[in-house]
Amino acid sequence: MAMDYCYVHRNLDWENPPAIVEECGRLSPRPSQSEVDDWIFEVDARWFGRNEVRESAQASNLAERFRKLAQQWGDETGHLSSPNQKMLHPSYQAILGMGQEHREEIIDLLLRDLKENRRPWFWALSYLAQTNPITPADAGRMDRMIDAWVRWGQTRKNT
Amino acid sequence: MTKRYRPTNNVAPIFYRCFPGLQGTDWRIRSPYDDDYQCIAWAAMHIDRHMWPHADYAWFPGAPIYPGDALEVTSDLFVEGFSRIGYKPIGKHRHRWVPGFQKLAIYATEVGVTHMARQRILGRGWLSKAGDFEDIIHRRLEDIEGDVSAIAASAGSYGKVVEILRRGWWSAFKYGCVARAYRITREMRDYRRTHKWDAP
Repeated sequence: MAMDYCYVHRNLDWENPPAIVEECGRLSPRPSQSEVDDWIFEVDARWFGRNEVRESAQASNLAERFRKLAQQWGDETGHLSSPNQKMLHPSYQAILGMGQEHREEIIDLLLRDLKENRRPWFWALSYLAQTNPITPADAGRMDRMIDAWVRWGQTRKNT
Repeated sequence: MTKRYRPTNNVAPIFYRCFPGLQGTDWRIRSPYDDDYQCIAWAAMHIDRHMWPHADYAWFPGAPIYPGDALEVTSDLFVEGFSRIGYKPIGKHRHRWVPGFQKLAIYATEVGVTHMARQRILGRGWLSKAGDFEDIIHRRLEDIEGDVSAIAASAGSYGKVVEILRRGWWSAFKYGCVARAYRITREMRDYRRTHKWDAP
């Protein structure tokens, strides 16, 4: 069954809102997802001061979102030695979450970032790709681990 | 040794953010930024590998590693691993320098081991390699300690010292660590000279 939505006008005066009945008197076409997002972020920014949420969500481009999260993860976990602790960081978890929806794209982005910025995405790649090209002889050697994953990426692209 | 050099002025704010306890203390940078090794390898005197008790990382031959799906890495695995090069656990309070012995400290939070520091040979401070960052000398173990909660761990805290390991100098000779330590120390000293190292 098609549903009609009562669309609240975007330029709503927050201090003096009009009566709901009046606003809902006319039925508008269903708003697009981006319009709904804009509205939610406007509420966030206005009522809760969460501008950064809006900024991060505005980066609708997957690569841009990944770049920001990866940069944040690298900056905030560079002083850590434990791979387990690095993995606990919210940005890492967010990237793994993105990988659930866009697996192939995120694997490509992880491989590119691994090669260009040497950020250790080994466990995220293993988790998303369900494989591990690192041999026991390469274990722990950063250059060799990166090479192993980059080679795996090239093979994957060729096939 | 072609490593990325970062002046002390650029590095200090990063360290103060990560380790608030360092502020106002006497600490020094001793090596350039290097992502080829981390603190666990530095404690075992290696500068060419990342060590962790996991199949994807270098570890002591024959020492147990933890299953890949476990989140918590207990200090027992580190005690067991470092026993392969002569270290024995002596509790968490005996951190004072004792002639003839070399000591390591294991830091942990609620979610497991996070860091290791190595006592300098004459006991004047501790050596810590902060992840990929520079390695530093800090006066006391508490200088880089933080909260132990899981939330603090996800925000980058090292937690507290949970165990001190100790071995005699003879063990260090026996396992070839002295020769390696000499070579590494000389390499880093040369680096500091050639790059007009601004660390005191």
